[in-house]
Amino acid sequence: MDIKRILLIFSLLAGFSACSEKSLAPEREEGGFDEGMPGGSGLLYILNEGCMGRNSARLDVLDLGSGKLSTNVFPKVNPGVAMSLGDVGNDLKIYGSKMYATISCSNLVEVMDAATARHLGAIEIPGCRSLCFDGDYAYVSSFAGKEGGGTRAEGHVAKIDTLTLKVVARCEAGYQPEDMAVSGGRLYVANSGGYRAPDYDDRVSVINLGNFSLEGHVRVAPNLHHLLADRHGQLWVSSRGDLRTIPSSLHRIIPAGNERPENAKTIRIEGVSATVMDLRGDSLHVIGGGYLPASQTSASGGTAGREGSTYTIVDVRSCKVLEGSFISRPEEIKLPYGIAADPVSELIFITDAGDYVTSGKLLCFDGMGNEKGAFTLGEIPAHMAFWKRRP
Amino acid sequence: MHSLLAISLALGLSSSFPGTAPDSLEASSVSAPRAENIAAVPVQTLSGKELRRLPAANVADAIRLFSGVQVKDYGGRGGLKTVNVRSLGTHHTAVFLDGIMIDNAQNGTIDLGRLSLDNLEAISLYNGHKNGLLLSAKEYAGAASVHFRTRVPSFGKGPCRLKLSYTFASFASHDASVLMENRLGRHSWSSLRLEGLKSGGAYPFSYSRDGGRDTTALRCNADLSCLKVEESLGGAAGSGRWNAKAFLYVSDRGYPGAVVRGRIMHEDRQKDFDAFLQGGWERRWERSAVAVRGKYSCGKLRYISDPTEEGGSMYVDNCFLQHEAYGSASSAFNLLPWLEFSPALDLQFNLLDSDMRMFVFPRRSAIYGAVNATAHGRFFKADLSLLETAVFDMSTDGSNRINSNRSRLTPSADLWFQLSENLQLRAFVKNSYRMPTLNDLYYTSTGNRSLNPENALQYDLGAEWEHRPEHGFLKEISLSADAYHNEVKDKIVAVPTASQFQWMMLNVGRCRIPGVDASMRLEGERKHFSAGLLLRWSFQDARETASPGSDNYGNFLPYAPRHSVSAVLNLGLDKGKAGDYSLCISMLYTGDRYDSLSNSEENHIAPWHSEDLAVKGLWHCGKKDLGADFCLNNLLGRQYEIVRCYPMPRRNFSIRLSLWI
Repeated sequence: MDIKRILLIFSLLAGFSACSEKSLAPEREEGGFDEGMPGGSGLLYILNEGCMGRNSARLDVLDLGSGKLSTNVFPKVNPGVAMSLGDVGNDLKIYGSKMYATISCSNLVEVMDAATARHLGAIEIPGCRSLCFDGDYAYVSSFAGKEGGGTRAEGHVAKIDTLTLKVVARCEAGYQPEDMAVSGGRLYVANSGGYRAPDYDDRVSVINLGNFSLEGHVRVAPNLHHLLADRHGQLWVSSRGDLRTIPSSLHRIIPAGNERPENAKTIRIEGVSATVMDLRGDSLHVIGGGYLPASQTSASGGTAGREGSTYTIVDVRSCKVLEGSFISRPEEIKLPYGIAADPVSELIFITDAGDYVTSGKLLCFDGMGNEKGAFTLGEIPAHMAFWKRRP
Repeated sequence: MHSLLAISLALGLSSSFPGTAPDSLEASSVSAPRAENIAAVPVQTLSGKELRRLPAANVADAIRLFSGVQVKDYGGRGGLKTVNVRSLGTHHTAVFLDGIMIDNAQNGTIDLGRLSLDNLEAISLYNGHKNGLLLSAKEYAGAASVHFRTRVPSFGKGPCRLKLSYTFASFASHDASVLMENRLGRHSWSSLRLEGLKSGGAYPFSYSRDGGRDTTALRCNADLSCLKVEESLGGAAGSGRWNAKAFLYVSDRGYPGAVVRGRIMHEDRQKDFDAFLQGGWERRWERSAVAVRGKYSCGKLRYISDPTEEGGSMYVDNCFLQHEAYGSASSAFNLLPWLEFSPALDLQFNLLDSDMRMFVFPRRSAIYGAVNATAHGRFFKADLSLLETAVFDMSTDGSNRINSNRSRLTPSADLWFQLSENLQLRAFVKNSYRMPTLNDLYYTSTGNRSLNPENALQYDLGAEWEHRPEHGFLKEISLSADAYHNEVKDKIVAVPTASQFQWMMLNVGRCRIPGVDASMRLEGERKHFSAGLLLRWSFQDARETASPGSDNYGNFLPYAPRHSVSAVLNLGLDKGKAGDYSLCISMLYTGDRYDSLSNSEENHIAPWHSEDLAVKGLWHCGKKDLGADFCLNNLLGRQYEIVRCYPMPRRNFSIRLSLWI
């Protein structure tokens, strides 16, 4: 073989390989609803947390009227926002006409127009976690200390004017504050203390909204996470347990009102573990069983704890745990990670984070617990918010 | 002796022990290369002049030019650089310095950015393990093996040489080194090298995504300061050879972290203290040979992340301390003129301590036993190796003592044929494993003590055609191609249990990687002028195959491009006393890939290519030599990412002056 020919072959090879291949993988099915569309109008926004350090928080939106899913809408609507939504979305809520998303590793709260997801502004809050609203204000919990100083200090709650989108006040909370709820003129904050493992925080902080100051704490269980207020003035808080010997649990708090906060009554709901939950009317939908102590997880299966996921309804008035599971085939969900109860129908939306590093799913169940639809979403779909949902 | 040689030649066989009768063997090796030097596995080497001419600042810059190799580079001087061969995974690549493995029992990650090229004679990459006699048992262990060989001084006339060099490079980098080489006797030498490096590291980058706005910013917290002390000794005594090395590495670096919205600055820092002592001795007799090797190393790593300024992330300040002791004995026997047998036994002990809470303080003892049989003739060579590995771990979980043991027997076989004067065929099958690292097994909360070793199986079939024209400018032309098929089972993957707060390492991954590596080398020379061209192309189709029917089944593995190409062109002009000049241009292309098993559009990473240039000159002024190098990296100034959210530096340069006294 002469050299020229060899050179030619190599340059051809190199040239061939230098061509960019636009589509390496086949187009993915995005899923859809089965015959029974939810009906009515409105949108369901889903915030995919995205794996940390990949700047891959993603906003998807499901049109509940047409059943059509649009993925990754934020950069499409807002090409002018550099670096898209950001790194790790931690909460999504709609209040008034605005939609708020805490992007915790980007240290900001993204504020959008709820109808279009158009960027309205971003509020810088280091270590921001969860959202809560009351009157003219939005409240954002943050892992960072009130006066700075990182996360070795106790965290705080920032009070934001929803009109100017400016932080107007800050109030200290416990270590690594997570979910919040408003009840009876007070803001309750569940603290996890996750950065201090194994010395978790076990307190719910009580903040008076009148003067925005800390009144005290209610001790509940280690590593608190989700917190919801029902219409009877009670609070429902979940504990992740200590990931070693204390399992995850659900607690009811009857606040002390104007007495000292410590005098609040806390009751553990026996036999219920809670990783995520949502409230519709008096039905608290609780997904639990997310955790098994290390000694109990087996090496072989890779499904440790998954079969153990439970789907329980707790009646908040009677405090009774309803028999059975609220979905019919729980084994279909690998890693339940978010739940949203449709306010106008009996539909329940559950996100499945799958293996946590690849695409997750959105599943829709009817009142009988039967699956009505499934959609492929982004990494770690977690937080959902309804917009203009009408029957 | 001569009669033995005559018989073996008559039988068409060649003896393999160079120590036996050097003169006669050299004569015979012209037509029949020594079996020991024949590689029945694909091997790529950069050495001597070729290596020195490269526009490369560290070992990783050189290795990434090999075919089938993906270097993961997080950018900057202090950024981690690891090597992944044929998509088997970083942990399957074993890295050896003078035949002794550079190991990291804690996490299995070897940062190639730390080794400087200056003191290396050759870098070789073997798919499978190195071929040769007197290998240590651990040398059989890797699915791919990278071997570094320390430079042996060449003394001219004097008993001592001193080299001073200073490099100034972009991003406020200064690097000064002193090399002192001494002749200790007729057959032994020593070299002492001191190097100090300080790099500000902050480099500008731009960031843009389709449909998004461009951002330009500075990559901060990318500084690196380090001090290296390296004392190498070597020598020969009779038919024995020995070498020894003491190495000290102290560094302080910032990790610039991922560039994400609202956060382009990170505060993570790492301080390292690494030291090792290693040595080896081998002796060859007429029909047998022995070698012993030993190493002691200790490493201290402190990782600090203090988010005082930014608030949101976790405060971390952890210290890890590792000790390792290693010993190896190997031997080789010429059972028949055409058959060699070589057993080897290695022992290793590792210890890991930390100030982390709930730490389990693991201790690991390991035994590696290997046997290798080599049959060879004039036109063929066949190897069969067996490696038995047994690892015994002990740890304490509060009050309980935990024992966890695992062992694995891994065979491999290779075959080499010379079909004609120019054409050689090779094939190998190799089964190898990677032991779970101490982090995989015992890391607080994610560790899983029941992990099995990860298993890799490789098949390779290749051919090499080589031609050395006697006339004309062209002196050597060689073409090489290999087709391979890899399978990794029981891949160790971090998997969340039913909650995101508890992850666990599990043997659930599985992948299949068929591929092709091809390369071409041209060498030309006329009078003072020499030229070389090296082209390499790799194709791989690395796919996940863990669970049929699942969403990601059949998807591409993260960071495994289908195509990658490298090219190196070097031109030299050696005018003797009037100077020695070289120009070298290297090009690297990496094709489309995804950074996640979800092969969606958002996870797609654009192809990148980078061109580097080096102009080097060396002048002789009496007894002194003066060298000047100029390197221009990323010639076209393109912005690219090897790892998502970790932008690489754009055009940058370095100037180096060196003086030999």
